[in-house]
Amino acid sequence: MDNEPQDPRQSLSTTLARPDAAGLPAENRARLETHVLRPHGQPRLNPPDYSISVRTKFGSDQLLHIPGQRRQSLRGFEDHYADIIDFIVRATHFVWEEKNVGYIYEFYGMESKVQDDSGQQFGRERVVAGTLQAINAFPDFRGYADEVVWAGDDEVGFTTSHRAVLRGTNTGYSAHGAPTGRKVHYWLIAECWTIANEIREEWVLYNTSAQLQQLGYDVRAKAREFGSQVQWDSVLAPRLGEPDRQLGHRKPEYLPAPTGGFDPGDFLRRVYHYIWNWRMFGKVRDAYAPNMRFFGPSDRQGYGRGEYQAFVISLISMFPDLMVTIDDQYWMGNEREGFTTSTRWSMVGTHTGPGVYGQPTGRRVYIWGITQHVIKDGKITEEWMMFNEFEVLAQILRE
Amino acid sequence: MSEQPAAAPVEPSPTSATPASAYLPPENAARLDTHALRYQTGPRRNPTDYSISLRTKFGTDQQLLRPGPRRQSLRGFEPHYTDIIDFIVRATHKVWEQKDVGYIYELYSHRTPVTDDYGLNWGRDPVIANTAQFINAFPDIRLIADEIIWAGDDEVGFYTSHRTVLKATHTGFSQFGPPTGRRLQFWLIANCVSVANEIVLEHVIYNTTSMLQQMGYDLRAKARELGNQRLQAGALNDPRFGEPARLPGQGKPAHLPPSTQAGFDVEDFLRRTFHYVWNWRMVGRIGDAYAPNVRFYGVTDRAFYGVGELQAFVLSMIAAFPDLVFAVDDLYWMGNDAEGYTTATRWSLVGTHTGPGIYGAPTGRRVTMWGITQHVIRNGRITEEWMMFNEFDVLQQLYHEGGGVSCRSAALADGIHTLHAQLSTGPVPGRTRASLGAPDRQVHRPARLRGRPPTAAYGVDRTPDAARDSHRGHRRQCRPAGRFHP
Repeated sequence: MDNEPQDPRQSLSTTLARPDAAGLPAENRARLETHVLRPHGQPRLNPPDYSISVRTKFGSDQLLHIPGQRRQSLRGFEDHYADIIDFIVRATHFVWEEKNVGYIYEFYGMESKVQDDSGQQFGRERVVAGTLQAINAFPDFRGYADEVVWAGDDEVGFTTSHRAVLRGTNTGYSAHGAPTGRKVHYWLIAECWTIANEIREEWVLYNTSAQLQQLGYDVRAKAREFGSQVQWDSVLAPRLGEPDRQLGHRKPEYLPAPTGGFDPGDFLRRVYHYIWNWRMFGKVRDAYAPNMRFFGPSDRQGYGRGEYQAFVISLISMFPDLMVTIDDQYWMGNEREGFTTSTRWSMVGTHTGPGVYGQPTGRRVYIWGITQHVIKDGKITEEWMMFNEFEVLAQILRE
Repeated sequence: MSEQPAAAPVEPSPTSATPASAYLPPENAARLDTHALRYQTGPRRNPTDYSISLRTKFGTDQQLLRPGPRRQSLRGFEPHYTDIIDFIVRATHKVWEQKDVGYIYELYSHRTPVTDDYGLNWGRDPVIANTAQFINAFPDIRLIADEIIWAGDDEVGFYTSHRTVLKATHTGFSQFGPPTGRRLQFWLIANCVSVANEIVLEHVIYNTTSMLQQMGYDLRAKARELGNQRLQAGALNDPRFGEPARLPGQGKPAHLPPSTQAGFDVEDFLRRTFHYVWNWRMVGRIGDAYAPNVRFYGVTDRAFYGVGELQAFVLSMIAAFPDLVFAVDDLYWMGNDAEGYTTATRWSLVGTHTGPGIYGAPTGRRVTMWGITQHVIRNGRITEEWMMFNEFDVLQQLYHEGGGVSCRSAALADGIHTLHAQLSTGPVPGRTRASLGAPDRQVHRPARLRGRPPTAAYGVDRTPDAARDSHRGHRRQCRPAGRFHP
């Protein structure tokens, strides 16, 4: 891909779609050698330990200034990145905290597909615009990486589940209105698929409901306003058919018995299937530690199995035909050190029961979320569950 | 894995996130070589003796001025720290007493989750802001380390449970109001996890209730005022869910299997005691687990003497929260059979306020408590208990005026380390208590601290000399007397 000396007349030609390779900085060279990568069709591997994780990133000095030498194959990434965690943490810092918003041109693909609280969006420009608006609203923004679960490699792409804590003061205009002067402090999850220094797909849950609550807005009113912006004509009619949880009046399927040692993927599939799809809430007792901590959207907190069980029941009582499916799942760790997992999931249900979302509307609702679990000795000790609650409210309350 | 600070930066470019190669002082170099460390992932060892402990730090000269050579592996720590106790004591001294508040930039991770009386907070900047406010309110602050229990190492992190006595005069503006000029003295506990010179996780209870009480404020009014500030009208997280999960329906609490360890198993002993006393409501077991002359020190200047008073305290809590469930979140210890054990337990408790007690008429509200308890165990019995919990937070949960709305704080954060299977302690080392020069005299407990009913806790007028009696050296004074331990 080296640029050969050209005939200057040729470079002036308007008929040739010759790529303009002028002015690329040196560190971008590495990003040109990526035609050999084969992102699809390869198995994605889960890291068997925490040697590359936020747990090894101690201190601002190392984290932001002196990341050290490369310790992982990162074909196509800029030279100075040491590993995938370093990439996620420092690129986020560079864009959001140092306010180099334009670096998004280097680290998002131009065709990036981003799923957030307002549905699926395409294109890098929208990421640039959204970031600008957020930094404008919260100029003192800080984003702490609390956990980054990752899997994959530079061939199939890195998948990262980035749980971040956001702090900031609303001193600028935001999408929700004039500056409130309030401080916000909440957590969120962004899952990214990165290849050759570029995020190609992203699923991000901004915990919008927590932000609105902390800014002092009426979340339900804002959701109604947001949901009503779309003209819901017959073409956009919500999902049809029944949630496909069981066949007719059969019962939900049984999963085959587990084989071999502890497999976190199998364990979590069982947890979701039996607790959520089978409504066997008592299994919370088997799968969760007695003093488990639950963190949810809108600043929800739960302590212990009893409160967690009740949270699950409250959702299913509002959406009695609720069905959950697992969309993506990966993890780090081993039995000795414990596992840290990330599960992206979807739920479909019909709002026919009472609960925190108000009187039943009969509307079909699509919920999707990302949950990080900490598993020790075969039991879940922490659950960080984020879902599109603001969008769910919008689906329910729109006019 | 070792890299020199100068090696990393490449040419600066306006389009890349190339790290800025800021100047770093030489002592920070050690902190860059930490990629090999595995914070929170390995087994955590409990020290089997007191060779690295507060008990070996005699005198101001040694403790603060001449710490000596390094006597413990401290990868990633600044070179002048000798051991983990030295790190905790001198860093605290530097920040709080020498007022080098900015040293927090070196001492805390940028993202440290801190759980305190106001819930879970992330980040170093709030720690710096709060410290500045605190020192502003109490310019003559003194923090006297009374006990530091530690475990772990520089690989998995050092876990420290730091019990401190705070003395200060309220001569500056605080978050609670203008200067009162009052002299304060109370104790508090901070549990920290430190890796590579930085605290990466902290659970701290400031004993805010003691502080407010001694400043002359009406605790309940302050709790109502601050609890109201935490309310969010119409918030989605309003409803409190479920029952505290103690019993399987109408079943009874589980029994614990016997310990598989030969000899005294301190972890099993404590877990068993907590489970049967709190979850089983077998309050009589306090008589088995505690020495007859046990000293109990609690939040809000509570001080009890003997098994009877301690039983009454536990009963008063169960009476106010009849469905409470208690769980141990973290537990580590130092010591051995010969020298005794000092332990640090971090715990959580959930209950519904449906009974009478010092918290007033039942409100029906769900309450979350969490606390840190340090025990001194001698010959298989607890001789001292220092129990601190988030009582001011609890008061806010109960006294706010949000109706059924919960303003339960975010005080539930936990690291990834909660349920480690801990390695048991090894063989008994040679060091004895006598070699530490502990005064061998019988305890005389001032009569004015004795026999106070637990319900009077808010009214206790704890004079400075009474408090002094109950602090320093008590650990040593409380060695079991022969007649109680034949």
